[in-house]
Amino acid sequence: MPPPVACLVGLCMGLAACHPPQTPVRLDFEIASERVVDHSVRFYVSGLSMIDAEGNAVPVSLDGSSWQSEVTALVALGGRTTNPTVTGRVAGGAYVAVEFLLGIPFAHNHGNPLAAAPPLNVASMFWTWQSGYKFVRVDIANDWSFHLGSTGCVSASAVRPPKEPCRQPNAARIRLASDTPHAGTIVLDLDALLAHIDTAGEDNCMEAFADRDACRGLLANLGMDPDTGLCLDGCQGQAVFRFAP
Amino acid sequence: MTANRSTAGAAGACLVLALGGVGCGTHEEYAWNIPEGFPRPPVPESNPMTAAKVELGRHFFYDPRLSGNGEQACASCHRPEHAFSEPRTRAVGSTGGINRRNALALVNVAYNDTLMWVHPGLQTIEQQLLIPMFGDNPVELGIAGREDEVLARFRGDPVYVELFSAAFPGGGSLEFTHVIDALACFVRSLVSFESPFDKYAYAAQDDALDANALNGLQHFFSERFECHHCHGGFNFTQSSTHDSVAILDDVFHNTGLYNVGGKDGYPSEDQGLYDLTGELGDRGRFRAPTLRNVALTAPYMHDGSLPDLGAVLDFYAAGGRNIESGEFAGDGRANAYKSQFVQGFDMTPTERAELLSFLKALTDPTFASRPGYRSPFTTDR
Repeated sequence: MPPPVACLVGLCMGLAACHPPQTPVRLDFEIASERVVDHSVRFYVSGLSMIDAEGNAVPVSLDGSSWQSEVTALVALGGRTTNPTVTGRVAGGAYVAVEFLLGIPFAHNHGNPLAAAPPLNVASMFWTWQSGYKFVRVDIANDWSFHLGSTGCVSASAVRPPKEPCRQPNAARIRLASDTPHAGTIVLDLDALLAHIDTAGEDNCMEAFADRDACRGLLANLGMDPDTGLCLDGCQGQAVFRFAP
Repeated sequence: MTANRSTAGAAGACLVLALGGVGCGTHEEYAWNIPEGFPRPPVPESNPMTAAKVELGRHFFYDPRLSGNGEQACASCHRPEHAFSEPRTRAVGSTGGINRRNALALVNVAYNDTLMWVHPGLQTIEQQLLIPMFGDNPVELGIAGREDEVLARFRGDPVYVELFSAAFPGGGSLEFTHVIDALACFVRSLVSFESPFDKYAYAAQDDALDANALNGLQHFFSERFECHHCHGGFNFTQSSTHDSVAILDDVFHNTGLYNVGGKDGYPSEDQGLYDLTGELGDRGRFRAPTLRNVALTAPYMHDGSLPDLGAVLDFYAAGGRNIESGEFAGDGRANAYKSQFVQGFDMTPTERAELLSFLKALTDPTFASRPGYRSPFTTDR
């Protein structure tokens, strides 16, 4: 029996309308640390793109799963449940770097969590409508935590979304060069993230970023200006993420 | 929205198959009491929800003949007017034995990733029910050793014969597997999403909370008070899950309730997760329960040792409890295994009153009175 006409038409239009994504993308994240043994690290990777030789960003279409949506991927290393890998497809081409936002774009950061598709439905990665998601969540065995998200978000209450972007986005845009940026292992250097931070003390960083020393240090280590939560010099000063050789 | 869409899509596919006559079963899809937008809880494939099973389970739940000596029903300790908990400090079983713990409320239990105060191995209500029904330490319903006698009470009752044949068509004779499946369906049906907080937060009704409750909400979700770290998510507990959630978190915490003799322990009769794992770091760790309907469920904590919500707020403000004398004397605030989120905080009398207003705004006024949740029997058993 021939397939229904509508089905054929849909297929043909799909093929003709665009350059279909062709190159599989697979990035494996792993933690390197000599300083911290017992840890749980989770973070969101949004707007994943491949950068070509002219500097153009070509978006990666993420595969769908409970860890990935069109918007973002959740990476979890250590801890009770792990997901080290981000996968997707990108248009064929020659690429020289990968780029991603370490966090959630404002437009997706303050929605009703009940209506959120995975992986934005993980309660422990969400504060409130007002503050949005924890972009990065690092919990270390001796009760030291780093929960990074936007700050200075103004709204009527904790369960109402801000209408204007938050004063400090605190989402680093990470760009990493590689000959094969679509496939490789990206190291998260926990010691670089925690450089100059006293994780043995009481100085957690879970809110009020601009006025806490630990938070300022962590933002700087991610390449951001602690006073604005924006990338300094394209966040190129960060040494936290790098491709494994 | 994707999760909701995929649920609807699956239902749509099923409908098509049923129309095409390709065996999707004939029973109607169960109508949850869940407002639009809230996720559905996971349901074991082996025990799908049906209205007939829920109704049979409701009868068992309220029927004292389900206990060995006929003295006690599930509802004796899980009373609907208290959000299916009870005002006693600790539960008392059908034979008079005193349980070491306070009866938990049964609110949105269907979403729980783990059940009871501490029992990481139990993941379904069907497994959990074996404990109150057949457990002997302590005896609760006390059915063990009297199984045939208990079943015979229902097999010969025409009301149950009819309910049973509707719930389990072609099910043969009534067995405890049927009792458990029906009870689990009833308990799973006990959902509560109609509090003033829900109207404010999820239905966007700005006037659903008064100014006091709204200020309390701000305190609750603030980093200063830290409440929402352990009582987070739409059920105000970390041990909540639903379809397609990738990560489940560590849900057991030591809150500094005890520090017996200054040795970081809890009373030896109940050391929480430690009693199951033997790991020192698990001493005093219990599951953070839901706060939905919490104003109805006094007293509080795993052993019911805090009498009211004011005492609970004062306890967390102090960062634990210092017991100055008696067999459990010791400063819980200094318990080495205490959660990092129980640091204590300054709280003005106004803030305390506002937090109490907020906690009361988590009460769903429709929950306790819903006919399908109340006793089917005319006389109170």
